[in-house]
Amino acid sequence: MRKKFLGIRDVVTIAIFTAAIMMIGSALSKVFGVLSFLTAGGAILVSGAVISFLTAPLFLLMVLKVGKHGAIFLHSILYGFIFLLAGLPHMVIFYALVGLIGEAMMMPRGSGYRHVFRSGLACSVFLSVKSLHPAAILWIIGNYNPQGVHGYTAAQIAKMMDIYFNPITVGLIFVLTFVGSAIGSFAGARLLRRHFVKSGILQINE
Amino acid sequence: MTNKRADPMIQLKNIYVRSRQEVPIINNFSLSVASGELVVLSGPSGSGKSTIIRLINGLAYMDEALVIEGTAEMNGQSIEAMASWERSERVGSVFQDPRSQFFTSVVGDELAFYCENFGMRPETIKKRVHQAAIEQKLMTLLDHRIMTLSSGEKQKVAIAAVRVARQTIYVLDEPSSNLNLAATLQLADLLGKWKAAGHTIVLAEHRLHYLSDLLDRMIYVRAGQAMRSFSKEELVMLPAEQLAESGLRQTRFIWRASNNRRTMPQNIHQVSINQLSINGWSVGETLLHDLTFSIRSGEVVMLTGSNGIGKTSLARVLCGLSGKSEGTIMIDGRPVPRRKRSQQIRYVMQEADYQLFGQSVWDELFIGIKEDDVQVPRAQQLLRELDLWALRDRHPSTLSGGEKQRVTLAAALMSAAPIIILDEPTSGLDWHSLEKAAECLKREAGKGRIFLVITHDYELISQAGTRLIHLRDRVISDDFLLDENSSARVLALLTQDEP
Amino acid sequence: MSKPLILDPRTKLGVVLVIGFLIFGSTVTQLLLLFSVTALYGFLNGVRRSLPIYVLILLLYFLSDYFASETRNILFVSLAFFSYFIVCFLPALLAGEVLVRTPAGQLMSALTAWHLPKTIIVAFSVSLRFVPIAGMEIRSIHEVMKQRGVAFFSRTGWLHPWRVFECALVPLMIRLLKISDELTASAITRGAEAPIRRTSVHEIKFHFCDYAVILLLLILTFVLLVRR
Repeated sequence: MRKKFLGIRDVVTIAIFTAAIMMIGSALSKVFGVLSFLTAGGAILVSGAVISFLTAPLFLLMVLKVGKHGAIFLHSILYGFIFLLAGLPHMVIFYALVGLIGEAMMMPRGSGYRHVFRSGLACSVFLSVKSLHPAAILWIIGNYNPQGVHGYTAAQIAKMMDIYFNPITVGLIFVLTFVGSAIGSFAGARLLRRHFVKSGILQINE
Repeated sequence: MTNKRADPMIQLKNIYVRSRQEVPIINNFSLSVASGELVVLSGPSGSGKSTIIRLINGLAYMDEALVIEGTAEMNGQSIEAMASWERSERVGSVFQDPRSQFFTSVVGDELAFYCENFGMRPETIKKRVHQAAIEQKLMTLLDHRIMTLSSGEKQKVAIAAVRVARQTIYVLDEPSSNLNLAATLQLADLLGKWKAAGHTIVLAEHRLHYLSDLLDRMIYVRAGQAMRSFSKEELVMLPAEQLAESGLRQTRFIWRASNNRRTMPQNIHQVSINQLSINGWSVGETLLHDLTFSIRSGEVVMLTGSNGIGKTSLARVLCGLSGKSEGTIMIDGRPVPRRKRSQQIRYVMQEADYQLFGQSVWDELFIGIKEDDVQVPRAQQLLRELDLWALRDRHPSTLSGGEKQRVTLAAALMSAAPIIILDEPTSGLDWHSLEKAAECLKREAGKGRIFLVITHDYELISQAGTRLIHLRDRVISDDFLLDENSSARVLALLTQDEP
Repeated sequence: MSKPLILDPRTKLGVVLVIGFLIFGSTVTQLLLLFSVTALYGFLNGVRRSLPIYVLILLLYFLSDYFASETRNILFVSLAFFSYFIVCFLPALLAGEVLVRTPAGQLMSALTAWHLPKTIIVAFSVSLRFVPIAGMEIRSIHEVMKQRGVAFFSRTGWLHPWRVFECALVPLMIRLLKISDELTASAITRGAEAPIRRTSVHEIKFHFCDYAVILLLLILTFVLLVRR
């Protein structure tokens, strides 16, 4: 009954959910961008967590609705493509890798898709790895771009880099985002059960 | 085979469709459509008309949630056995909501989508696109962005995008529900041309007035069964009462102004708008200019005018969602600032899906409202009045379009807001629901509520309206009380809108 | 105003790819060079409205940088810190803006020319078209929430966060599922599953200006890499 590969229906579903997740992500990033100016970067720590918390239910629904291998990867690639259009081509490589990690989470015993807990876990891992991306990019820029027209700024930037991108901070971002998306997945799963499973729109394995 | 004529173009035999949860949708439905025939499926909403359309274009077979029995053939070939692209070469499908059917952002690209999928050469594509655009009078719009078009134009694009395939069978699922009267008449024109060209056409539709001259047969569908088949003559001869009893919309424009016009209650509320100007998106653009009018309790005011003239913008300003306005809005004699207005003026958007949050219809009515001794009986009464009682435990997302629209109406009526603005509340309603909704409006108006209804629906205006405000050229061009003699004037206003 | 250049979408994509990687490891002077080149490229391609904003950001960086070294005030230092990152991305954003302005149909034709599978092309085109629509959907839902007293920043919002979470996401999910259904129906009935290689109504060809842009891009890359 179930086709192995992604059909048009799955592809369209993934594309639409990707666009919505992207939209929410970028809208919130803007808010957090402003906030981090005000809090001297403090908001960066939680921005990933909040964004993941809100997008995890959508991600979960997408994965469960499509229920086939390849969904996470395609989602991830599309995400990267949209960044490419915004002028950030390296994002495609990063997202292809993240997508593969997400897919790998779903690999064992083939029944991963449609399984709520497994999907939720994959979702959390996926989203938390994803959240490292802005930090990673900034880290590369900060470390490898010889910067500052004035010496003082250069030194300051190096100092601030140390504050924001030491392993502890990055680890903290990862953990916070993981917690955020885990809570999001949990709440999302509850939402899906209440609204979609009961009414027969979605079939899942507990 | 009992058919006298040559082989039927479409042949459905003893079809049963049910959902995976064993809910029957279609029960023993048979239909045979001859080549060149125009058949209309009509009946109450949720009766399975759309499913039959989806059987003919094959979509039902791709829906994993459905179990289908029986044979469906097109030109003697099983529809189920065909590949989806083979079906798309023969059957053109036009859906209800043109907004969500597009893949590209430019009209010309959208028309090319089909041809591109079939790997046609660019010259061939251009020729086909050109031809379809001429038929739909879209030549001047080919390089426009689809987002900027009116719903009538979007529907034309959707039709042209199918038409490039040059099929001979067309199925349409409630094509007029998002169109105004002028655009609907254009659609009728087009269907006439297609019929003259010998195409076979099957429509699922509530509105019968624009089809009654065109159709060969109308099948009355109810609870998934073909209850009766009417020929054109039989249908036209049917008295309005019998149509109404079957839940069918009228076949011609009948004005029923007489019953309970203006049963003015004691004057409880009054909303006055003074020199209100509505601004558009771009700086310095004024959509509506210096509007001054006032509405009192008991009135059900119908607001009409072309697409894009600013009816919805006016509604958004009135209920405080948008601040792009100048002028004053007074409720009961006091000017009310924007932030306070949403408590007094409730706006029900056109799209029901945005407005349904609850996990059941019952739950939906109690969002933001306490379930107490006063509200529970009110909710029960409202659900009964709007024919939703049987659906009270269903999840809103499993309802049909018309049912969702009634739920949003019920939710708005539950609120304490004295003024309610409805945006196209009857686009997907069958006659029965329309009548129920109209009665509900009149009753609530009698209790002192104020209604402002944005609509193109002649039948709703005739059923519920007490006054009509028509917007044209950025001002109120007509503002009059509806009575027994308003029919011609209303029709004239509705048909002069831009399609 | 002169008419924008007509470039092959593949050229624009190439510019994005190269510039996107060139911004890494560049000094401020090199970034300035990259910025002025892409600004000219953007200007010729019809990016005009956002150019002043980019220039403003650049000025902001230099100003805060100057004040940071003069006053050593933490406010200016962090301002310089953050604006520096944005400045690093300006050339890439400019190149991206040129690409984004390409009508989706032409982008699709570029993908078609590269023999990508149909599903990928459809997925890409759908998500591209749907990003602005998703924004509108979310806004509409929030407006309804405001009307019904369950908005994010309302009393109910603070008291019953779960309710708000539910009210925001459920309609959105239902809308998204419904739109996917309708769009799928529209795709299937228009032959999207046909096992035939897609063509495109847009014939894309490299013209003189494409070659010129590519040549200039190569020279720029060479110069920048040699100077490192």
